[in-house]
Amino acid sequence: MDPSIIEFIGEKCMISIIPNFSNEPLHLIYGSVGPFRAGFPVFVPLWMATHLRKQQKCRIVPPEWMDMDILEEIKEEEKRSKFFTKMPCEHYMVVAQLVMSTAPDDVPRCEELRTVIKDIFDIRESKLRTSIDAFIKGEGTYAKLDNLTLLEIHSVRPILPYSLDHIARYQRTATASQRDTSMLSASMAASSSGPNSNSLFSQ
Amino acid sequence: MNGMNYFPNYYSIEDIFVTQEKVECRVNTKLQRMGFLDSGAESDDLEPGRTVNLPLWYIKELKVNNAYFTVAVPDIYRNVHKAVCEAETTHIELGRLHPYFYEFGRYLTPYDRNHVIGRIIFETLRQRVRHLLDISKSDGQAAKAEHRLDNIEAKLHEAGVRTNSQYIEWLQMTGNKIRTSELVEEHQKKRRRADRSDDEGDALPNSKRATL
Repeated sequence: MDPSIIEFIGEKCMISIIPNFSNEPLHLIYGSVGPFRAGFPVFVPLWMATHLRKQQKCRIVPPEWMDMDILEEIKEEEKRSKFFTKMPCEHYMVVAQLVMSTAPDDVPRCEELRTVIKDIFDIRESKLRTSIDAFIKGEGTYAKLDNLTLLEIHSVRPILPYSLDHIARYQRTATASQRDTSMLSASMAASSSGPNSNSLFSQ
Repeated sequence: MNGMNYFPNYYSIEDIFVTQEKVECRVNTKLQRMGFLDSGAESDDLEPGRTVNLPLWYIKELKVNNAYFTVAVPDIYRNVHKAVCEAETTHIELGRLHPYFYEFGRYLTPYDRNHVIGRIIFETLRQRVRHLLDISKSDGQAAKAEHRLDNIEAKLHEAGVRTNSQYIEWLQMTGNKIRTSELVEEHQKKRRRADRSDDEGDALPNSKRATL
């Protein structure tokens, strides 16, 4: 899964913009986007917002959670808690990246916000890796993690399931051979025949 | 891409490499006219008690406790190396021990009476996966020595590095530039060459006419 695909999924988030043109409501496949009136905020999907912004037809209003204090609080919460906390938006990283790359002027204190969001992301990623490590070392059979966003899952995606596959394969051969040999010794003890005992060996 | 999801089939190249490895076997009974297997044999028949090096694909088709050969487990899965594996799991250079450490061990597991091999490869891989995750996060090019990782681990590492570089590219928004495809470039070059040669072709007859 590419980050570009994750970005595509994240672009469906709604965001409010202030257009500088007026238009009838647009009827798109997934729904209609409300009437545009110059100077009044309207909710549009993120892809449309960035598109209009690049054509300089609107101004993007940063979402409520993109505020210094709220993000600082989220960061503290994330550091304290052992589990993953619920993020304000399912695709906070994608939204932040897109908004800040197309419209850095619309967002107050852009650089600091970017740093804080990156910090939150790093904290969650390291928590994820610690929990993966504990899971692998602790011989669990499954693990459940709440409140993970797509981009964090992407960072471990192909490598984690494949390594778990390999571990499971070697575990199976190890236990199978152990079981077979104990079966063989039991059957040899039971039967009184010579060295040619027919036992089924699965490799 | 498929290499990481490794369920070996008959045609998989790594499987062919692994099963080509030679294992030492001791002959148990006299085998008539099989002397060609042993390169240093004097007679046409294989005498019991000799040791031959046979490839794994030959051995694995026979039953585990067959009467003809006894497979000797290679040293890398025994004693010294086993202790080193357990003590220093993340630092040991598996690639140098054997490039296909895990797969080879997997094929040899049924032949080992003490059940050592199966457990070793399982435990070693479990410990090293965390280390793999960590080093694939860092700059993949610099630190990786060719020998440290076994074949399976190398593939996993490569996957991790690729994921990481994709993520960084996305963050910096440098990826996803639309490039002209190769076919179009070649076609344009050919066209330019054709145009240039047309011009030169027109020039020549003119100059000839001038001198004539």
